[in-house]
Amino acid sequence: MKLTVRKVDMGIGVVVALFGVFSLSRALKLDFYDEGVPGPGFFPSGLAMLLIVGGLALTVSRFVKPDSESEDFDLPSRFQARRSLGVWIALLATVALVNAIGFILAMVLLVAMVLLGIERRRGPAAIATIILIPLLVYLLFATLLQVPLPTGFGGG
Amino acid sequence: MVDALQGLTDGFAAALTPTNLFWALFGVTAGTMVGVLPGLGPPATIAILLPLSINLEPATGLIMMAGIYYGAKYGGSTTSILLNIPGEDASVVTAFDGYQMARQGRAGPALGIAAIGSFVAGTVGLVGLTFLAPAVAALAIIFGPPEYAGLMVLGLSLVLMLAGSSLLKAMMSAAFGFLLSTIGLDLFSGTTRFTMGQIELTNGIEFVALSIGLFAIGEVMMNVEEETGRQLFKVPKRLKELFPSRKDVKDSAAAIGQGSVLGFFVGALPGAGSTVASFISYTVAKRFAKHPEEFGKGAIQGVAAPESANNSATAGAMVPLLTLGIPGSASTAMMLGALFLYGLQPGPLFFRDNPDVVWPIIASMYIGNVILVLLNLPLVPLFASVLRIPYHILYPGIVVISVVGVYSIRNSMFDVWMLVVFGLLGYLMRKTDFPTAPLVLAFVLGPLFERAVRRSLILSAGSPTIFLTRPWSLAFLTITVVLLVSPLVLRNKIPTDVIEVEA
Repeated sequence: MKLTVRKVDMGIGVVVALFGVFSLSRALKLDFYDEGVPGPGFFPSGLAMLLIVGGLALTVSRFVKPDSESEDFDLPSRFQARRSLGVWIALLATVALVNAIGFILAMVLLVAMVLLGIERRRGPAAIATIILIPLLVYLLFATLLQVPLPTGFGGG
Repeated sequence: MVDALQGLTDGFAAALTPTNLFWALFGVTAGTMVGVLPGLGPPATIAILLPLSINLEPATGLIMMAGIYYGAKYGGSTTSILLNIPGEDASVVTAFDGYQMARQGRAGPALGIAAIGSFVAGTVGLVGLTFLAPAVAALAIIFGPPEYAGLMVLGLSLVLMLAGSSLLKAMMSAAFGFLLSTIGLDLFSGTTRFTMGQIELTNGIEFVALSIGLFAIGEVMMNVEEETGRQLFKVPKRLKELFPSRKDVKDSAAAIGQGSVLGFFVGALPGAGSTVASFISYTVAKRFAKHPEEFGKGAIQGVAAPESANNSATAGAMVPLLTLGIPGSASTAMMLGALFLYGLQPGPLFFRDNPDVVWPIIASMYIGNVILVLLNLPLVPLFASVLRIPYHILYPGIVVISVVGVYSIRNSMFDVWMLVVFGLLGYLMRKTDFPTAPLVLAFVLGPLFERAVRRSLILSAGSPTIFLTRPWSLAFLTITVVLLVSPLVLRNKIPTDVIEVEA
């Protein structure tokens, strides 16, 4: 089945509307009005309703349009998805490790995952980059600007 | 007027000593350098260097502080333009067109026009501070919650002008941004909203984590889809091409002019600040541009307008600080702290009782402005050369700096997690053609709007007519209606196709 912008937008509209329903269910637990003036739930409820209406409007507006009029959706190829999501997963994994292994090691790991795993770079230039980027950033923030970066369980 | 002129002359005489000039230069340089880094904005920079000023004379210490404030404001634009990393809140808008210019090999002109616009607007703002301070302070006082609400309605209506190919998507993006801004403690009732039991969310989502995630990480994820074994953007080799041309300056003149004036007045309103000023100035520049369709795709006016407003707002923010003792932002709150440190109490009598401190500070801001442009214009080729670095080396650096920059704001790993989440969101929004700019704009203006509306309704015991009976509020609402309705009346489309912001 060909994936078109129309179909993607319809799906997004449903997701946004569902998110709006979820937000509204939480917002309704807050006071809508408080002693005659808007309470903490007033704006969140209104915004959640706006998301529901917007999401449904997007879905319906795309639904009534014939699929043949829609452009193909620019779905990333496997190669592209592997690269972009690879960077994100490397970031996710290293952020999860920062408190355990400390900032420097975590960032060395991040740059190494990107350069060795995604970019497939080898050689002295890659090794130098893996060491130098985290080290320079550490010196700048932790040493010069006294930002207390996490040191990990080892404290080093 | 004559008193102000005399005071300024005396101020220059006091500020132009070798010691004061040295500390002004130090402040501007340190501010610019730290301002370039994401996360650590002007308040943090002032806080870091505050202990250094304790041993200095009050005027000298405050001259240094003012230099830091100015320098950090300017420095924030550099990474916005080069790497799509907003150095601080007010630089988010600069990234919209600045980064697109960098992609087209015009990083130099973008950085150059930012420096020129900052210089001109900073000077205009200072002229305003010198001669209009009492009048503007009086205006700031009459600006109550209904007036702020009117101003914010105008600001939020400008979301329509940030729409990409779909107005509906822009509105959904804005509603989502506004909803995100409601997360945390509601200061009116003490109730927590949408925190899901996470104590870190009580203070809300950190703006820099959101903006760097959406812009920098989202952009990196888009760029790395293709092979990156080369430099990503073209960087001209000829020195001439690294500076704005005469045409660039001419094209930007009106944007710099309106940014200077708007920035000063919006900056003078406590709570509005340079972020709001830069957003409003950008959208006004688009609204009245000959080629609004170029905005978001590398229009030089899209850099000139917000950068001018940002720097003019710095001088504007000094008005309520010095004349009323009211800090309108975190940066001016730090400046107030510095004044207290020296035993000085800003307020209505501050100019009369402490001319030996006030006028040298104001004079030093003029000097700091000159130092800033002299320092930064020659550095443009150096900054632009960052883009010569092959992207496979540059982007791991962008990611690492983004992580540390976000962490450094509150020393919070939770904020870094937010960066990760918003990075993915930024990528998905780009892929699905959802504009990110309305989300960010609504995230900034939303809380100000909500606060103003609720305070107004408390004042009027729940009667919404308060927004129509106050002249300034009514004026803002009228302007909003005119802006929204005029394209329809003129039989143009609502500007859904006016601007496509790709930031």
